[in-house]
Amino acid sequence: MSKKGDDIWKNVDKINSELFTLTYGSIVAQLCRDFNHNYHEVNNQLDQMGYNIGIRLIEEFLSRTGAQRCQSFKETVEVITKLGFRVFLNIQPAVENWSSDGRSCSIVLPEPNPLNEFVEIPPTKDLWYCQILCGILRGALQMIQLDVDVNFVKDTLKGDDKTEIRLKLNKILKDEVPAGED
Amino acid sequence: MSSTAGPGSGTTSSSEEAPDILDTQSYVNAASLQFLLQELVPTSIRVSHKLADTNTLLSLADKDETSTIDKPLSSIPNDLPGTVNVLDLAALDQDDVSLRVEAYGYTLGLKLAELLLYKNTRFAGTGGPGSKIVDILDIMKFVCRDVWKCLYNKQMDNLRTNHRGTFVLVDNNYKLISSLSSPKGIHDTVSKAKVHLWFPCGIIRGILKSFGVDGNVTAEITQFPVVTFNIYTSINN
Amino acid sequence: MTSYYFSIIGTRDNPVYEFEFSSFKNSLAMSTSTSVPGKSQFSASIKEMLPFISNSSLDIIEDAQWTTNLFYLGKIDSFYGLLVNAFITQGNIKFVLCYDVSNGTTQKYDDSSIKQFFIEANDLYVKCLLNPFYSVNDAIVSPDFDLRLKLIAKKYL
Repeated sequence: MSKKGDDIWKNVDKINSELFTLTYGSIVAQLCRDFNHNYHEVNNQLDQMGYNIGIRLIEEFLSRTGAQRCQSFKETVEVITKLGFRVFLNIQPAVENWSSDGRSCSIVLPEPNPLNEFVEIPPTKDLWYCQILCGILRGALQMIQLDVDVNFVKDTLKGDDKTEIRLKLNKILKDEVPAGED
Repeated sequence: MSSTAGPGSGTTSSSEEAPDILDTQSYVNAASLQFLLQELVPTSIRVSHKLADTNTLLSLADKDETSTIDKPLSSIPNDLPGTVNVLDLAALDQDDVSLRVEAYGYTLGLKLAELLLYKNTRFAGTGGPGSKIVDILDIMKFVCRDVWKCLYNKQMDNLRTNHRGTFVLVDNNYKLISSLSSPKGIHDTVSKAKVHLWFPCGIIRGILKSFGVDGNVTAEITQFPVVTFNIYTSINN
Repeated sequence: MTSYYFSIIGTRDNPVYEFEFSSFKNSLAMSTSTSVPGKSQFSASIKEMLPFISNSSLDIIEDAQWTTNLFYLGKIDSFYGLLVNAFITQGNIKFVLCYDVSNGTTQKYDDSSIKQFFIEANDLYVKCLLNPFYSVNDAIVSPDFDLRLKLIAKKYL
């Protein structure tokens, strides 16, 4: 699958990663100013942005990769890391720490990555700088009928040893038209 | 150690370190940036709305909430995930939203010029800084060529000046709006596209500022998706 | 032993960063004496003048801002036996280095290593700028920047 990721990556339209880093950074920094450093609100806004992106990004992803329906949550997570992150951000995170029931696991981002490169966050425990990723994952997974909790548990920007996103599968949704879709 | 360096390797990151990030060019998918930029305007509207609404401000969430498909993204009517109803809000024309979108561009522009020129000179293989841009026309060319290429993978299509400090830059197919299409027709598309243009206006103003030039930048959609940027500076060129 | 005063000055002539040190060259030989390696040896009266000397050179640098396409401006001024070299970034942030050569030293000042010091300081500045929580003209308080700058000072000066 990594090979497939490489092949798709070769053909996508690319931009400087610093430009992406700067753009995302200026959005987060401005949100922090707008909400007067209420970091919970900043997290929420980033999460919403991500969620909206995820809902739309899944179609681009499916058409680009031709990925088929996955047989298991494990396979889904593998597709996310080996194809999803690879094709959009040119990184390949590690998957660790599967729970025994196979319903939760951690995605560990490589360091540095195109979101947090060069970033030094204000001294706070509350801000999850890359929260947009959680929204994106949740939104995209929702569109393929997976209800998943996604949240950060560790962030090197806060001095942790790694940047870790925890995924927990709640339930597999029935095929139904989601609210908000006409 | 730099004195012996050959062409293109004149930078001086020490050999035992991993290659310096600024010496290499890394990339991400252009679509990722597009997705991000498309969320700028809706987010600006939500932020403005939230800040204006003193009730929600008082109860600003103290805990992180996660978005779900049926939970509105804000107290704006029908602002559900995956929809663009938020763009229908009258607030779209509010100065507050325009200023916010412009500010995102401005902070980016302020830093972008320094970064791009720095990288360009390093990649030029001269092994150190090349020459500094001081002429206003060169600054505009830099915007048309390097900045646009970096942001949109294309150059501006036209650059004109009256030689008295006014510049007109034309992009015949401005990427950020060319994919917009309102079911209510072209008139609605254009009026909703307008607010998106504050972002590139902010970028250009930020870049000029970082060169020490104060300018006023506006944009108009002459014939969708052709965008004309008007730049007024006090410099006679 | 040459003492140095390095400062970064913003576009509004505001101080952004400053750092005082002495040459690290020969510091091993000197370690038996009373001096601490790297500690500047400006006299007290000079010390308090340093920010003013830096600032007084700004006019010269700002003239150059619009007239030369060079980043490294070389030696631009001298003052009470202190020499002043300057560098200007693309975004018109000024790097100023004041140093004394009269302090009974035989060490000849080396223009190319000063230039290299400025170029690498510019690297560090650009990286600092990439931090979204740093805005142009803010004081630079990042410990990482501070450490790396000291390392290049040690390497070149």
